[in-house]
Amino acid sequence: MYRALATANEFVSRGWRVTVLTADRRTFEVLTGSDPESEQAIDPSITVVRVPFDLSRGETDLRRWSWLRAQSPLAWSGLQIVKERISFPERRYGSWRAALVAEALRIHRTDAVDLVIGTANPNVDFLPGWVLSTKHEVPYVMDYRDTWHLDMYKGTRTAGRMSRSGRWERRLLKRAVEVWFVNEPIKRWHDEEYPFIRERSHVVSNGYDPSFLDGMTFASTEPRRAPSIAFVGTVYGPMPLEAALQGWVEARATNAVIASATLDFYGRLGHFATPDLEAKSLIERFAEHGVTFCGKVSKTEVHSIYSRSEALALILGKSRFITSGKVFEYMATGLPIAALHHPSTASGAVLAGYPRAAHAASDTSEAFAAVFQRIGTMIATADDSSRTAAASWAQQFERSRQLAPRIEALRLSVERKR
Amino acid sequence: MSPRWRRLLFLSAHSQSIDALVDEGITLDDGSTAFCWETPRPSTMLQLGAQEIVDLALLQRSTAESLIDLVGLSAANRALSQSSPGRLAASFGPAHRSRRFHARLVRSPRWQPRARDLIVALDLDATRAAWFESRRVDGVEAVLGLQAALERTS
Repeated sequence: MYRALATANEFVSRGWRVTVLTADRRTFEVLTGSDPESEQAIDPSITVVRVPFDLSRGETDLRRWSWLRAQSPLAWSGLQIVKERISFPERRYGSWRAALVAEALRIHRTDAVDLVIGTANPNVDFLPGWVLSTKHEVPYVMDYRDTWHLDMYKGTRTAGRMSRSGRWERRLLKRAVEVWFVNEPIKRWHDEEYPFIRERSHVVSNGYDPSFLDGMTFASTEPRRAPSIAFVGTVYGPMPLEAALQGWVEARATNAVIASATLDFYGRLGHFATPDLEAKSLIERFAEHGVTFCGKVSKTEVHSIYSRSEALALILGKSRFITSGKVFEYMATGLPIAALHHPSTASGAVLAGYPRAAHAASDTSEAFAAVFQRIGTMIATADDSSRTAAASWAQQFERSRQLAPRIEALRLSVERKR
Repeated sequence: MSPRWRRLLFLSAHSQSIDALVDEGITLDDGSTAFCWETPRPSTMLQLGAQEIVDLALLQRSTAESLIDLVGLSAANRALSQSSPGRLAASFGPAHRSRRFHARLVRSPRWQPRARDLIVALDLDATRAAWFESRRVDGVEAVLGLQAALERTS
């Protein structure tokens, strides 16, 4: 969400009029969970158009279920899948195509659009740009916040090149004026799969948004307050959570700072509104070792978490394609970062120059314990100058610096076309 | 619990669904009852209060259910289609378990939903019963999932 938010705001700051197509609020509340306070970060000049989304899949009020669905939820789900895929080959989101495209066409009729940025997933978000391009020659950009046919953990395709979705991706890529990827490994994979995009593909890295760090202060390590190491973000499947927690316990046995510290998880358990009970149960198992799940926190309040933390935990699944978004914000705090992931994970390259990172030699609990021990030492020897120096080093990752070159190039391209 | 609701009626076709109540710290001491198809674990029974859990598995089986358990599902299906040619094989198709759950539930003498009860289907196999019962009894509503119930009753 934050990349899309920042992209829209950055275009506004560079003189564009921006309209954002998104789902209605209830969609986020029911399906993914929402952060209503973050809406305050939307530039007031942006027009937000909310396109209704079919929420019936996630409907928990049985009064709204049809007779068919009550008779056989499985059969009903099967029919839903067919209905979604007829429209566009994307489970759960495909049926949004018609409403989304209709709204894009309406907007263009009312106030001609010069450029479309589709940010995915869901991949159906690429369609308004493609439709406006085919019908009205409007250029569009495909922003891959996530990946479509690349399984980031296995490095393989998720569907065949001749599958319906494979053909759709090829079709969309052929007409896009630019294709953005969040890091070089993902770009490289796509350039090899689709050589015809090489001259149009760019790395537009994630970054941090300084506005969300406004109000951050340095932690006051009062003698009586236990040091806090914070995880901020979403806990989900492939993350080596159990190994990280075991490593935490092992480190507490040998490092006095870690033994007195707490490991606090802020954010969400799973990507959907309903918490992942397995992750919750795992964290609760380690409660006696100072591990706590602190619940969701609005993005607008993360600065207060960084203000009261002595270090940060970056827990990521093993993948040469994953850099994550939070690593940039973590670095901007200047705090020590426990890099709790396999060394081949792409975020390692981002963190490589950061002066206060402790890297793991592998993704085992023993390796993570060694990371926590080094973090304990960093906390014990921390001073303002080390934090300031680290935060200054991270300024290169401010998000506007990642977007600026592409927005300028697109402005020139659109003006030439006029 | 919000005064809008008199009590909660939990329906669980699988024992692990009822375990979720314990995980969430739910108690049944406000008149709420849980109706389970599979016998819950002893620890679950203990924590929730055995007398508030109705073990539907202990109810007397119907003839059809006994037949299924004796000869297996497909054999029972064949026997029924031979004895009643018009009877659809789908009678014992994917929705069968949920129909059996509903049939068991309504035979329980403790199943007496009333207005301002909220039926909570804890898994998909319990939704059919919850759906039909919420329509049969005035003033009763039904939701799927513990999270939905917690949101509705807070």
